[in-house]
Amino acid sequence: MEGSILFSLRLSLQVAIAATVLVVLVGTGMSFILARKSFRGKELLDILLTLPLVLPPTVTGYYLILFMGRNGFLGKYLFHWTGWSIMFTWYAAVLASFIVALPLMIKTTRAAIESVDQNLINVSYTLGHGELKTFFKVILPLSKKGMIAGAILSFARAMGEFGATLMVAGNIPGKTTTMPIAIYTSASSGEWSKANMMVVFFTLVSGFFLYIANKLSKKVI
Amino acid sequence: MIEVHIAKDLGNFTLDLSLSLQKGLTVLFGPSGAGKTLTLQTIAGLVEPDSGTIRLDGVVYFDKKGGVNLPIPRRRVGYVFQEPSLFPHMTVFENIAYGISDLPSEEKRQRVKHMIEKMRLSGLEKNFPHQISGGQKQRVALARALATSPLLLLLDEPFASLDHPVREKLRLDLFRIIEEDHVPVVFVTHDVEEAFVLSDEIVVLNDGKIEQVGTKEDIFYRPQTKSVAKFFGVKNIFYAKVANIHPEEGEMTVYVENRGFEASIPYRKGIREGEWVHFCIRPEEIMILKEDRPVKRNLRANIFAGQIVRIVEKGSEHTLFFKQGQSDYDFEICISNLAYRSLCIKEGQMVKVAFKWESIWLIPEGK
Repeated sequence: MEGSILFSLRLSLQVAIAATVLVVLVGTGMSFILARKSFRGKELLDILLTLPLVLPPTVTGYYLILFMGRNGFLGKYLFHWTGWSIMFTWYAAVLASFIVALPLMIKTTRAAIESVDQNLINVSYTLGHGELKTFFKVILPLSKKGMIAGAILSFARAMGEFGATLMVAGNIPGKTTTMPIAIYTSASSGEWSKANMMVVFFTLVSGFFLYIANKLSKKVI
Repeated sequence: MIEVHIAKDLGNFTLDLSLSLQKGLTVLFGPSGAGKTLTLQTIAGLVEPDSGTIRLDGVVYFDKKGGVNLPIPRRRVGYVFQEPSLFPHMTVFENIAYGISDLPSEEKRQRVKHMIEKMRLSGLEKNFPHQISGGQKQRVALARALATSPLLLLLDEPFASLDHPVREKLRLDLFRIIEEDHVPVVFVTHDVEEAFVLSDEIVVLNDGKIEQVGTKEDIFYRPQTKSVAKFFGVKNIFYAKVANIHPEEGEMTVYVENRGFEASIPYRKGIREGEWVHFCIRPEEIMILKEDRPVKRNLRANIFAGQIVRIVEKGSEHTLFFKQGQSDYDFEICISNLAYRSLCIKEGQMVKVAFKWESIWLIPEGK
């Protein structure tokens, strides 16, 4: 296999794994808050977190530039203090994948947490355990399947992220060319055999992940 | 002692009650929707009342004015629901051990073992909840609550979904627990038999309010309100106008307008002619007179002639519907199968029925 394919495969895996770790941590916390707490602006928060699911990835990427770019709302402070910008690094690809994949995690995990019998949670409280212990000993184990399904879907989505990643990480060979971007490059320059190989690989891997996620989430719901 | 003085408005339902419960077992009785569960939830801390106070042995659990609302985990109140609500991902052993947190592991293991033996669960330690029966599940739930040595045990119709024989065994377990652990128990039920079997003291709740607190005898024979009378099987309740009073003879005559008959009932001090009362007779207190026997003197004037219009078999007893006037029926009469057989009664038969003065109970109008 060509070196550039191997590189893009490795980079895609690296990005997807890093993004999924972030998605699981942030997504679980957010799902818990959305499922179990009531506060003003809850639905707004839900919409904001879910938007990347329906927005064109280029729009999500555009927002990320607005926020994290060298002159962006947050990015300018980062650049001011460190002289470093996240743009056009593989971290930017992680950020883009994270934002785009997060809704998938939140949707499945929130549903899983909401389906935990309230009586079980109340029993845990009356048996002397607070919210934190109840979360780790009752809610988490009982919504585990939904959460794993969410994480797998998020991983698959992060692997396949293209639009937002291209906007914020660019297409720098040997640096930010993830596999979906490599496929685009190959197809647009007529390297069909290279593209075919990657497309088949992607289809098989994504199909496998969907199968696993379905198997898990069916048992949850 | 548990002292509960609370109000909670849920829009279409208001709970408003004051209760002082002693040690031992108290039955909280009431129909569905009376507010029994809500009362337990406020004591456990699962629902916050709008106002009032909750104290257990002098410790303030809740005080709206004082701004106290003790968190649920710190109340040490055991709570068992109708559904056993066992943690499905834990074994029987793990479920029971769940609430024991302040013991070294060996002592913890001993404590769980002790609870397992006490609740007749030996051999089931490694089973998961879906592998054991309904009665066993509820015993695990009880063991789990008791393992934490709660200061108070709240039981919300815990045996309601179990078969009769299983239920009776569990009641015995419960009695044993109360005797051995000295834990005060509040037991919610809507089952009359269960209420009577379990406790001498019964609190009757209806529509968010306490209707009566009393002994079995009081509740059964001396209900203070019409709803209490109805809940505990007083089938014959008549709204009657006091027609004549004879204080010197200890008697008064009342007229039941909607049924068109008069009855002689014991005089009650302070009552005046023209006032309205409810008078009640339990269905098992009405006698069917045999033609060949002389009428006893103490039956006095309350002998009625009419027809048995319907007979319903109810297992160990029969319910007869007696009518004298134009209504569907006037009295509901309940007799044992033995009496039923000896009377050889059939539907449509003309009979005389009577009730004693002692069987009559008065409830003031508006109660």
